[in-house]
Order: sequence, then C-alpha cells, then structure tokens
Amino acid sequence: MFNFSITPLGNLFFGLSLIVFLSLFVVKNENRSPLLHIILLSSLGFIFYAKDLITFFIGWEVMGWSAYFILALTAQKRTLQKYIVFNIAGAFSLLASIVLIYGFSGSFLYDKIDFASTPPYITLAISILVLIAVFVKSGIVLFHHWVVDTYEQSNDIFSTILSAIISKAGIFAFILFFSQLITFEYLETHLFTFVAFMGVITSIIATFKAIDEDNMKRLLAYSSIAQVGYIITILAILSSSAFEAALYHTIIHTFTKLLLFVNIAAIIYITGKTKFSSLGGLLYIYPLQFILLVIGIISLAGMPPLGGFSSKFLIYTTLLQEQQALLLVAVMFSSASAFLYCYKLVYGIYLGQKTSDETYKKIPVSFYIPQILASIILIVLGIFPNIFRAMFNTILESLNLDTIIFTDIFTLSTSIGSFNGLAIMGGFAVLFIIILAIFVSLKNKTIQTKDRYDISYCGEVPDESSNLHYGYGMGRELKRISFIKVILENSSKYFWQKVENITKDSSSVIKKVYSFDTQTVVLVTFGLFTIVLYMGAN
Amino acid sequence: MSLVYLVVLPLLASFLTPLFKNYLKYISVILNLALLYTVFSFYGSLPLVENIGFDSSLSISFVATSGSLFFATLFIVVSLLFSLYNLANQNNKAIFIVTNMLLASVIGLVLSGDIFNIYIFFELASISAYILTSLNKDKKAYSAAIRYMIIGGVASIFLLLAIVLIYLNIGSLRLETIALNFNTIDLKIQFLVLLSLFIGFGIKAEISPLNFWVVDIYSGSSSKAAALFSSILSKSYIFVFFNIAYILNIEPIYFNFLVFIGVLSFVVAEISALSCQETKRIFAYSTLGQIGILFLAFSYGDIDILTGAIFLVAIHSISKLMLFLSLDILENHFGSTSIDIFKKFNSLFLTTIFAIGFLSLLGIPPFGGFIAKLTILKGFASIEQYSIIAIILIISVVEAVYFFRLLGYRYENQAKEDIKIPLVQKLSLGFIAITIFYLGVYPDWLLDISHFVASSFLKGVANV
Repeated sequence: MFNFSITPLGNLFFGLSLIVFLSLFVVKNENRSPLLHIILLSSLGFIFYAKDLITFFIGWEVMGWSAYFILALTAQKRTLQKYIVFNIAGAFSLLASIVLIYGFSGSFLYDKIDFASTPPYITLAISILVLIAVFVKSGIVLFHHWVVDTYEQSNDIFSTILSAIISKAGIFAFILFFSQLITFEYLETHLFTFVAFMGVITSIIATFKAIDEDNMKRLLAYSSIAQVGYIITILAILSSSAFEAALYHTIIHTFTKLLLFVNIAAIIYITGKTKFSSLGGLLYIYPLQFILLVIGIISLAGMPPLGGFSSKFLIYTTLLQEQQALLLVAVMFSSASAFLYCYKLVYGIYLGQKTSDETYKKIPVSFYIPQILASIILIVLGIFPNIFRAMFNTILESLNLDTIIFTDIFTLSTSIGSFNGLAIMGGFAVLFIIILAIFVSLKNKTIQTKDRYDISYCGEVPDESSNLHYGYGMGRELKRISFIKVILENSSKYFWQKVENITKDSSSVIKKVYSFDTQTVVLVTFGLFTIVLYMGAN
Repeated sequence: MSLVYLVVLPLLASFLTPLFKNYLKYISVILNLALLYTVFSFYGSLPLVENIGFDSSLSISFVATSGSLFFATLFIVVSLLFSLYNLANQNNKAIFIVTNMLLASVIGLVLSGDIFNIYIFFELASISAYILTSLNKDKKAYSAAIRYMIIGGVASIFLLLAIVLIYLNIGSLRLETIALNFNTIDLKIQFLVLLSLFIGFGIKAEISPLNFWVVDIYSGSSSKAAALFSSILSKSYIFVFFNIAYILNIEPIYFNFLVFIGVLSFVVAEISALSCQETKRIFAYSTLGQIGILFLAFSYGDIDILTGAIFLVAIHSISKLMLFLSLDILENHFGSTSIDIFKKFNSLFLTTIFAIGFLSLLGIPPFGGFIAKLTILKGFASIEQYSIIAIILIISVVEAVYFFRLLGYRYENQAKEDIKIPLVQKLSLGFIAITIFYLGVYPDWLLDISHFVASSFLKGVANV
C-alpha cells in the first residue's frame, strides 16, 4: 500500500523536523498531546519519504488534521474554521492534481510519472493546482488568511512547529513536483515568473504588517510568511543554484524561527504577556535570553556574520545571475525593511524601562536548550558557510540538476563572487570585543538611570492613560507613506468574507426549499412529472 | 439451500416474537449470523436463478448475481452490527419486529428477479420504514411518519404506473423478458415508463429534486431508525433502480440526465447542511450528498467509477451506521440532538468515533472513505471528466466546514458531562471504526470485490 524511499531531499527535511520536534520535546509546556504530535511527525515522514503520490497525499492530509486537533486545544472557533477551510481546500487541490497526473501517466509512482505525452495545458493546470496547495501551506498572499491567527492562537510550542516545519512542507512539495516529477522543460515559464512576483509581494506586505504589529507572536507569524515568500520567489527561478539558495534559506529559517519562537514562548511563559507595549526592560533580568534573541534576529535579518547572511547572499547572487533586477530590488527592499521589525523584537521586550514593577521567576532551563542548539548552528553556519554544499550537491544530483563546485567549507562561492565566513566572523569578533570594552569602561560615567515617571525631559505632560513604553507606537509614522498605508489598511479578509457570505446566503435559501410542507412536496413531484413528461413527449 | 431463506428467516423470526419475548436481542444476533452464513453459501454458485410457482411469466423469481448478493451481504452485516449494538438495551419487541421486516424486505428487494415482486418488497420496506419512524412515540415522530406515508404513497403510485405500463406492453413481469422486449415498445411509452420508475425510486432513494421530505423524516425519527434508513434502506433503492436501468440497457441520454441529477443532489445537499443547527439533520443532509455522489458514479457506466461507487456504498453504510448510533448514545443522554450537545459531552471514545466517521465521509486519509473518493476521482480523470472532479472537490470543502465545526465544539469551554457507554456498544462502534481505518490502509481486497460486483453490474441482462 505505502511506498517509501530514502532520498537526500527527504533526509534534509525530515532531519530538520526531527531536530525541531526533539528539541521542543524537552520544553515545558501545558496542553501538550503527545499522541497527536507523534501522528504529526509520522505524517511528515510520509510526506518526505514517500515514493508515490498517494503516500505523499496521505501524509499531507494527516498532517492537516492532526495539526487541526492540536490547534483545537487552544484556538478559537473562528480561527479553527479558517485553518481547516484553507488547508482542506489546498489538500483537495493537491488531490485534483494527483488524480490528473494519474489520468495521464497511469501510475502514482514517482519513477513512472512522465510528462512527455501530457498536453501542455494539462501540465499547466496541474502546476496551478499544486501551487495552490503550496501557497496555502506556505501562506502566500491571498492564501495567507489563516496563517497569522493560527500562529497566534496555537500554544507557544506548536507555533514553532507550524512556522519551522509545517510551512516547509509546502516548500518540499514545490521542489518535489517542479523538479522531480515535472522537469523544467515542461513547465510554463510565465506562470513561474508570476509565482516569483507573488512570493516577493507576499514578503513585502508581510514585512510591513509585521512592523505595524504589537503582538509578539503575530509579528513572528508575519515574519515567517515573509521569509517563506523569499523561498518561493527564489524557487520560482527554477535553476539549480536557485534551488540551492532555497534549501539553504529553508535550513536557516527553520533554526531562526525555532530560536525566536522559543525565546518568545519563554517570555510569555514567565510574564503571561503577549504584547510589546506591555513588556520592556527585561535585559537585566534575562541577559542570556537577550543574547540568544540578538543571534536570532541577526540571522533573521540576513546580516553578517551569522548563517542568515549566507543564505541571503546566495539569494541575491542567484537573482543577479539570472538578471532578475526587479525581483532583486524587491527582495532587498523587503529584507531591509525587515530590520525594523527585528529591532522591535529587541527594544520591545528587552530594552527600555520596565513597564511594571512585577518580579518574575527564573526561566526554566528547558527553554534554553532549543535556543542554544539553534544559535550554535547559526554561528557555525556563519563560520563555515559552505558546510552544506556537499549535501546540497547530493540533493541536486538526485533531482537530476546541475551540481555546484565545492571549494572549501569556509568559502561560500558563487559564479559572481564569494566570501570567507571565518574571516568575516573574525573581523566581527574583534570589532565586537572593542566595542564591548569601550561600553564597559564608559558605562558608569555616561548612563544615568531614570525612573520611568521622571518627565523632566518631556515636552508634554503624559496623563495616566498614555503608554510610556519606550517603543510604543513606533511604525505609526510609516502610514504616512501612501503605498505602505494601502498595504497596512487593506487585507484579503474582505474578499474571503464575501465568499463566506455568499455561501452562507445560498445555504439558507436552499434550506428554505427543504422545509416545504407535505402538500407542497407532493404537488412539486406531480408538477415535475407533468413538466418532464410534456418536454419529453415533444 | 434456497435464496428464499434469506427473506423468510427474518420474517419467521418476526412472527415468532411472542415465544422468545425475553431473549429477543440475542435471537436477533443469532438470526443475523445465520443469515450471514446462508448468504456466504451462495457465493460459490453465481449467478443463481430460482423460480417459485407454476407459470414462468407470473412466478416469483429470485436472482442472485454477485451484485445483488453483495448488497444483501452488506445489509446483513449492517443489521448484525446494529443488533450487537442493541445488546446493551432492553428487549424491545417493536424494534425487533420492524428491523427484521425491514431486513427481509430490502434483501427481497435486491434479490427479486421480477418487477411485481420488487413492488411487493418496495411496499413492505415502506411499511416497516413508517413504523420505524413512529417508534419514538412523540408528536414529532408521528407527524414525520404521516408525512412519510403520504410521500411513500406517491412513490408507490408511480412505481405501480410503470409496472402496469410494462405489463400492458410486454405481457411479462420478469426482468429478463422485459429487457429483451423493452426496445420494441413505443418510444413515448418507454419514456413514460422510465420517468415513472425514476420518480418512484427517486423519491425513495432520496435524490434531488425529490428529496425535500427526507430531512424532516430523519430528524423526526429516532437516531436508530435514521441509522437504518441511511445505511440500508436508501442503498437498496439505489441498487434496484440502477440494476433495472442497466438490465433494460436504456439510452445514454437518460444516463446523462441522471448524472445531472446526481450533481444537483450533491451540491444542494452539502450547501444546505452548512446552516443547519441540528446534528441529525446535518447527518441527513450528508447522507443526501453522498447519495448524490453515488448516483453520479452509478450513472457513468464506467467500470472504474462504478468500482469506487460500490466501495463507497459499503463504507458509507457502515460509517453512517456508526455515526447515527453514536448520536443515539448522545440523544439518550441529553434528550436532544441540537449541535449544542457536541459542546457538552466529555468522552474521548465518542470524539474519536465521530472524528473517524467524519474524516472518512470527507474522504480524508487514512480512512476508507478516501479510497472510495480516490477511486471515483481516478475513474473520472481517466475518462477526462474534469468538471465533475472539480465540483466534487469544491463541494467537499463545504462539507469539511460543517463536519470540522462539530469536531471543534468539543474544545469549547463549557461544563462537560461524562457519558457512560456500555461495553457492548463500545465494542461494536469500535469495531466499525477499526474497520473503516483498516479499509483505508488495506483496501485491496474490498476493491477487488467491488470491481467484480461492478463488472457484473455492467453486464446487465447477460447476468440474468
């Protein structure tokens, strides 16, 4: 019934899932349902190691409903409904494509699927159907309606899994369908240009939504959408270096989000607060948390010297190589704007002054384990940026794509340029130590500690209701830029709301017909008989 | 052994009720096991034709093809599971008599080889259904039963009209004789006969636009009765209708009409379920939707699609039995079936049962319903009917909305009540759930059987 094969690509994705699941397993958490998590993990195994489309689809659906039941423990009714409608629709779209592939190849086995004899318009239809499923799972614009609420309302540990692993299932499906099953020559290039732009538009919109967000988990959810948007953009270039960049960014994003979500989870666990505006000044209580978070956001923003830079570097160079100037500019724009929300994570939680005089407990050690693991990996990837290239080459080889020349593990080289991770890391380390030394030596001389109600430097007198948080309302000024204002104030919500209303209305109309009384039913029956008889007789 | 036993045994058991007043629920299990044994003994010697009476044109004839025997077996299995579930309840004379009557009549209906016999069993099945509806003995049940009687009367009239017309024009009631001569009669009369047959069976098989009455009947009767209606009764009418259609070898244009009717039923039923506030009605609409898919799949005359349809009949019968019986537990506990009861009960067992049932109905792996849906869709893909695939999948999303809404209610913060479920009921429901899961993982044997049944179906008159 089920067919499995161990492939390099499957190993990479399943390995990532396994690391995330195991490291999260130690974290202290209520509302955990081990059985459902095990089902979820095994469904991921089905997806990543499947050898035929049915096994793959079974994994895909089981992932959908097991996540639903885990989500149901914490989320609201409305969010659950959104989640299930989008995911079931995506899955059924995938089912339609699978059935179409079967109709033309006569088999579900990966090896036997061949698109040589399939008419181009059918291949196009299959591509679109698969893309819908991928877009739903990865939260691409128009299909992202379920993502943010789901991430926010699921329990803090499960949000990590959603962001780090489940959104990657979409990436996996993309790579599987559009390189292994349908080779590049049969794909419609215009469609994929469109997909690339959808990816980048997603990341721009999500980035600005994230900047405007006051809820920590929602911010990370938008950030996750934006990052997966980059991955989709670069995948849609359809070349082997693009796939490499995408895989690299997948790894980086998995660990970054593992780190950040657990970091936030620890803060929520201790304080019970979810908003930036009610937090602040935690640096002095949890310095280790702060350092880990900084590692996470440096990686998230794609700044050197950490791992995030390597993957962004590959993305930029690939776009340059393929002469996609517009995409490159858009990705850079979105990436640069991402600094704003990254910074918000730092100042909102750790910097500034404390907003309340509550005393907090220590954070349980278990919260540090996944974070430290992820940060070590991110630092190692900063020093040895080329460490995965051998693995990527095996993956590319198994997908019948060109491999990329491997030099040494310190130098990430592309056809346009290269950089040495060790040198950069060394340079940054020296700079960091110098700055730290200056900071420490000057600390007690320049910094005065003020009470937060000390208003001697204020231009106006705050009343009781004003929020005195250091970074409160930052990002508001962005709304003065008209194009960003449009992004922030509109949403695909209205579109889906319309769809929902139409369905509901038609439902109640039809239901009225079903409450006919007996006489009417009999009359209708005889009436239909007469009409059909009259029509048939002529 | 004679095919007649399959009909006579349950009827005989009904007559002997006063003798075993205190052991009825055990008798019922034994009877069903005996029937199961009997029906398996026929599988070796198919097809089987038996005539009872003197004159060949008017005698009672039973025909066992692999198709009709498969359906008979399915009904007996469902009835066996039903009787196992009932072991936990008090001995109930009325339920015993009526379920046996119903079983005898649906088995007779699928095994009948002549059209008058079909009419007799059709009426017998209707009468048992009316009684079954009114078993609850309250106002709602009685009004539903009366309603059912009136509508059932209309169906009978049309069926009788068809039979009269056939007898007038062909002079025989045997299906094979009718099949051989059907093309010789006037086209207009042919049309009238087929239309009357369609309306007669269409009303009973709960097909749009003749199914306005169904939901009220389901919600008026007890959950147990609804379980039998959904899993046995409607399936028998579908079988007989399509059996006749394939035996008469009617024009393709009529089948196209039936495809349209199937799509209409499916779409209308699933969309109207969306705004329903009562569980039994939701299940009823879901039954109507599934019957729409069955109609659609049966009408294509394609072997792959038909295989999927036969599989769907089996899986839908047992999953609806399981769902309605689980609902029966809730109904007995709370005394109502509004969707609020899903917020109030606290039982991991029932939640699991409902989840498996819903996922299977939606066609989500790894449960049996998925295999059925996949087989049907594969069939449609290979004959390039893409629009049908699109409709089935899009409307399935609507179906998902209301099923998952019910499942989500379990997690609402409300006062929960523990529910005690007797061991026998747990076992029988659990057995069905495991079967559904098993069929989702190892479907091949049932698919082979379904394929065999489907091919016998398509042979039409050559079978008889």
